[in-house]
Amino acid sequence: MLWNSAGGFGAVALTGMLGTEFLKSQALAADGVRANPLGGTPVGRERLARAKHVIFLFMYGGPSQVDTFDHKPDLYRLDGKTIDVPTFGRQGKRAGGRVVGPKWRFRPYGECGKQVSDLFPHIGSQVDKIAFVHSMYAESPIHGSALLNMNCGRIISGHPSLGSWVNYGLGTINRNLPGYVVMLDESGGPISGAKNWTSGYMPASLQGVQVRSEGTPILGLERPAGTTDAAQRALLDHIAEENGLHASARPGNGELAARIEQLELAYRMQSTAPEAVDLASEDEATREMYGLNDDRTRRFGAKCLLARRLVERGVRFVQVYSGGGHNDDNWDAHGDLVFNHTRHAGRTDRPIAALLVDLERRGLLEETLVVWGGEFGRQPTAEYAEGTGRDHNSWGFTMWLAGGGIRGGVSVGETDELGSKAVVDRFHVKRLHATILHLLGLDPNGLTYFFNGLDQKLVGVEGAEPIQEVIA
Amino acid sequence: MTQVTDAVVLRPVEPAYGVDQWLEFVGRLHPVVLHVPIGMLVALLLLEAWTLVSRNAIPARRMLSVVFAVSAVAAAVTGWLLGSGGEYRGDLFQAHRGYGIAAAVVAMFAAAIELFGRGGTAALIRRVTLLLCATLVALAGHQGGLMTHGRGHLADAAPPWLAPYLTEERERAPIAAPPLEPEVESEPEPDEPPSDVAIVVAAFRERCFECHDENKTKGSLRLDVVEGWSDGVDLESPEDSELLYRVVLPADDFEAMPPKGDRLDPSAIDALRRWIESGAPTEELVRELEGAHASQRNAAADLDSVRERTGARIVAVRGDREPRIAESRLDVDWRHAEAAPSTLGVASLAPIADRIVALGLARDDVGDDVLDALPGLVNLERVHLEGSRVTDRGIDALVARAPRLSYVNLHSTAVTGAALDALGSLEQLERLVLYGTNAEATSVERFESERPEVRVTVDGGLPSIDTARRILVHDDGAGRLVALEEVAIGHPETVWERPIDGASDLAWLGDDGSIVVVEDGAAVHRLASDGSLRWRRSLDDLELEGVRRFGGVQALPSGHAIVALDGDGALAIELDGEGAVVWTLSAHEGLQAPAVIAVRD
Repeated sequence: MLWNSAGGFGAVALTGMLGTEFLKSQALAADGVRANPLGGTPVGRERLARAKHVIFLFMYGGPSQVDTFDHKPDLYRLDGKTIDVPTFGRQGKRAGGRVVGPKWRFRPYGECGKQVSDLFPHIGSQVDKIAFVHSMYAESPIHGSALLNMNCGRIISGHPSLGSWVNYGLGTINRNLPGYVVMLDESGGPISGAKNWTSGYMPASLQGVQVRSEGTPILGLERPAGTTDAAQRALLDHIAEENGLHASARPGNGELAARIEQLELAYRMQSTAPEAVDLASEDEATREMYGLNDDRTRRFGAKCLLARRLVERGVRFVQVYSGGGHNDDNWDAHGDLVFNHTRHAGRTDRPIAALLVDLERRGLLEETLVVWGGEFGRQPTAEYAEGTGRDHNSWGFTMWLAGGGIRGGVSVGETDELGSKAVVDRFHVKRLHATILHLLGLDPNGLTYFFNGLDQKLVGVEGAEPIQEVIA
Repeated sequence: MTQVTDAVVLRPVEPAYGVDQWLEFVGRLHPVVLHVPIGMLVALLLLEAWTLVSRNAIPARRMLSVVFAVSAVAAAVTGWLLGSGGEYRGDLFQAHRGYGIAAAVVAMFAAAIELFGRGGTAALIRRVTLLLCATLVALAGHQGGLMTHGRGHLADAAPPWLAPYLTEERERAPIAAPPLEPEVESEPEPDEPPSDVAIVVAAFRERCFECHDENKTKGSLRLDVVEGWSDGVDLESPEDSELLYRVVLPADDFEAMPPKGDRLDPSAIDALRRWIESGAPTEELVRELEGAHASQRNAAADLDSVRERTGARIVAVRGDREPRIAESRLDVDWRHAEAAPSTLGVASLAPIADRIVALGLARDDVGDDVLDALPGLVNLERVHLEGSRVTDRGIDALVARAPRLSYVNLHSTAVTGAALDALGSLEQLERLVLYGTNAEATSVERFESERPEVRVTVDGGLPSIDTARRILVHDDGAGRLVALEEVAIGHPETVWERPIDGASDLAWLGDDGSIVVVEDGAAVHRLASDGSLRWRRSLDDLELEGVRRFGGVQALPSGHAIVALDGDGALAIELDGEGAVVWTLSAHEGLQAPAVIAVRD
């Protein structure tokens, strides 16, 4: 019975389970350049790190920048005209194509006057909290590798994801909940699934844990029917004893240490997780604000609200996916751009704006970095001879950040006049990662993990600097 | 990657194993040997007591007192050898050595009396000597324990009445801390970068003091005093300064320092080089070393014991841009702790109070009593109290203790506008979260006008937004009215539709999306934004004389509708939101049966 619950649990592998001692020793060994990030000398007069938590709103499939936040007024007039503009998508490289003009009007919002399309009127009302990065570029225009690029820093498998790095660097706050939570779209996970929230070569305890906003929050967690608390405790104590014996002959075995802790965390979470995901305890106005009373926004709204509740309870890194599965179940608008983006923006606009408002009014936005974006953007030209569908575009796309030390109401970087390619202040994905780590008080170029003879970094061997222009 | 090098690889010469090495080895047996005389002493005391009852114990006692004396001497000798290695220094060490040798000497004296003394006087002297010896052993043992396990080892765990006797210089913090008016020191210039000396001292403190300070002085080098630095400096040729080249050497060089772990931070090495090149001035160095000394002592003490007593999560805050953690700036957080903070618990923060910059008490089992019990928190910047049971009185107590607060989170508490008076005295306040409190709007407005630089959140919601363009179509062929929404440019979607027998005119009414429609000249309909019928007024309902049919309709900003009347009587009527007539325009000379009318209010 316990095997059953432990097995289901083992599959998700929780973080926050290793003693900090283990991480300390790892960090000391790992960090080649600087002092141990968990050790101690005085910081003195420097400012406190500004973010403690991250909520990453992942728009899986790749939202089109020119139809959302990257205003290209000239593009409307070119609708239907064939022009020479090199593109690179799933159809390979092309020299030009038929322009699909932006399908939504833009209007200025907030004190900063940021132009936002009519897809996101609610997010538009929050632009003064947001810093937009219009000149992002990624290494691959194909979903699988681009997702890994955005989540793990590389286009190949096996590297720990951003949430793992954050938890590795900062440690857990609440030992009764995982430090890294992933919430998937109801239509399914993104391509490659768990590789996107893996801990790679780090201990399995740093892996993301899938939490569901409806039904059982964490699968395989509940106590098997007919088992009493005392019986389960006795069983766990016995297993811990046996595991301890096993471990004593194998000092420094991270996997084993993680396993022992995982069983304990799972046990603790049997009581803490249901409370954390109890959205019914929220007041009606809040539920309404997140759109829980509207069928379109209900599901994503519940995830955003849950993300706030998890952050309040000390979870370091929460990733929420908008879109999953295939085709128009995510933002991958190859066929009908209007149908696709209306659907996904309609589901997410209100909940995301509500999340920003709610974090702000609870004084949490200062400590919580909210990141919005997909694995890449979309092209200004049509993918096919007919229709409005746009192909993938990793040469230029928009992401935005809010809260947690971000300077609101700014837009940095530019794509060309067609929105096809980043041209001014171009930022590689790792610059975004560096920015996130930096705001959490971690040195992106100093946070390392020794593996395969190399001090591995999220931002790669060459390193990366944070995007200073978006930092308050 | 293969590293190719022509350089001869230097290997440390294997030292011969000689007398010195033997002596060091024997010295290192001290921690083992010293336990023998302690055991013997206890046995001896027991036998001495037994002697009072029976003479049988005397032979055993005589034998044991010799063994005791010999083992005490052995402990003293091994201790001397260990101490001569140069790794131990300081008052504690000196005292331990003194008491240890004294204990050995007295033990020999006691054995001599045992063997050669006769009569009652000798017995008395022997017993007194033994008690003296026991005292000396206890003192030496305690000091030895402190050297091995740290100065607070016993005191931290001891009952409060005993603790002061177990430690020397450190003052125990009183458990119940008094409320205080903190004396705020002037803030140091925030933008001033640390000086070279400060950088080097910080780096050395982190990496070198471990083996080179007053307690452990490997290679006879102390880096916690100026002399240790001056001796390692070569002003003629800075690069040859021992202090510098040893840290510059690559890690695999046998002279390299520190011998283990990473190399020193390059910025610290550069700073050291600059300091030496500038003539190695000692004035600032003395100051920095004193500071390092003091903070070293503080940091080593207290943290763990406070953590244990409070049950809070206590971590050093992360500095902006800095991966390093500051022992000197702490985040104390009960938010996710198992147990609620007790008044006793928060009071025991006193020893670390001036290092606390963030405090988390946001839980529903925290009330004013907890805030009352807080010690003075002169450096506290951020406090989380959301969802707690604190009231205005508690805020007064908090503000009196924490004058440097910049972030105060009170959402979902019962505080009222009265708390704003106290909060207003916080000069460095930047952010105040009052969402879900009982703070009255007027108090908040007054506060905001007095302190415009403070960002106050009282409430927040989403503005109601409806930006999509809507189009109303009368589809005469199909006999229906259709409301479309333009979800994208040129892409309408049906919002609703309803059958209608020919609409002669229609208009949007106000901002709420409701509609007024004239149905075939015979009736006026008002439809809600979802297309449902709110009311219908026919010609008969309105009993207008001489009017044959309704003409065109126009919406007024007020949400009223003006309907043109076709007939011999009145020209137009104004209908309010409920369909009642509020105004009638009577017939005007020369106007015959107007079908359309426009009104400007």
